[in-house]
Amino acid sequence: MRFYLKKVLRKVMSQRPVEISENIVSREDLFKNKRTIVFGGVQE
Amino acid sequence: MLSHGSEVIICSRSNHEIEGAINEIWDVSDIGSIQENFNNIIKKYGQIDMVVNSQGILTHSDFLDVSPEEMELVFKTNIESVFFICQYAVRYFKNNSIYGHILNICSTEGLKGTCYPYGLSKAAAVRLTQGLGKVAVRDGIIVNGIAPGATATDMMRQGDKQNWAPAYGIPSGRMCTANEIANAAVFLLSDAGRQMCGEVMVVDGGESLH
Repeated sequence: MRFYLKKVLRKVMSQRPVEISENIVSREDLFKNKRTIVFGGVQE
Repeated sequence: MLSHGSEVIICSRSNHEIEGAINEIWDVSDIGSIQENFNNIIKKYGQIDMVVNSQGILTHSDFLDVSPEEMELVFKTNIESVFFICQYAVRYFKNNSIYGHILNICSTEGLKGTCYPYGLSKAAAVRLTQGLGKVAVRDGIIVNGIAPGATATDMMRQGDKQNWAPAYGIPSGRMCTANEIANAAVFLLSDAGRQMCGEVMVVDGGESLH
């Protein structure tokens, strides 16, 4: 049951529409509390 | 990503002195070490939300001079490592119910007919992005790519390493800047791009249109 709910929630979350009300490129908190791995630096 | 609030861990063969970013020295062309290193990064820093495959190597041999060693090195770095990093990332996101993002930096060279290792490896990266984008979104994981055209990085310096490659044939009259590629990355990695799956966004000043 828990697994089923998790699966449904994941599906709903992945399909939710997002309202864009401002220029996302200028938002400083866009990725707040997110962690990114970047592989490779400048390509050689 | 840093200027938008994300903690950034750069995994590369060399140390990149980017203020605020964490550096981990790691040669991704060592395919056998990817799983262990990926797990170590998660253990060390905690939950990962976004994975960017920006590794790449460009060689300049003519078609008749390409050796098996050169081909192997380019393919290991430009596609084999991307494939396995995607595989580990998707497994990690799925097992931990994270609606993660993966972004593969491809190239417009991967969209054209080519007989050179770089373009062939990038063509594979484009197809991987498209195929995985379709599969991973079923678990809420978003996979997209960017195909930059000629971009003013050190890789594009010519000869004595002082001169930039000419921008002939680029309708906008100039090469892309790294910031212009980063802007596309911000969009694709944000929730604004959640309905884009397997998209390889071309950023090239119109170069590939003719």
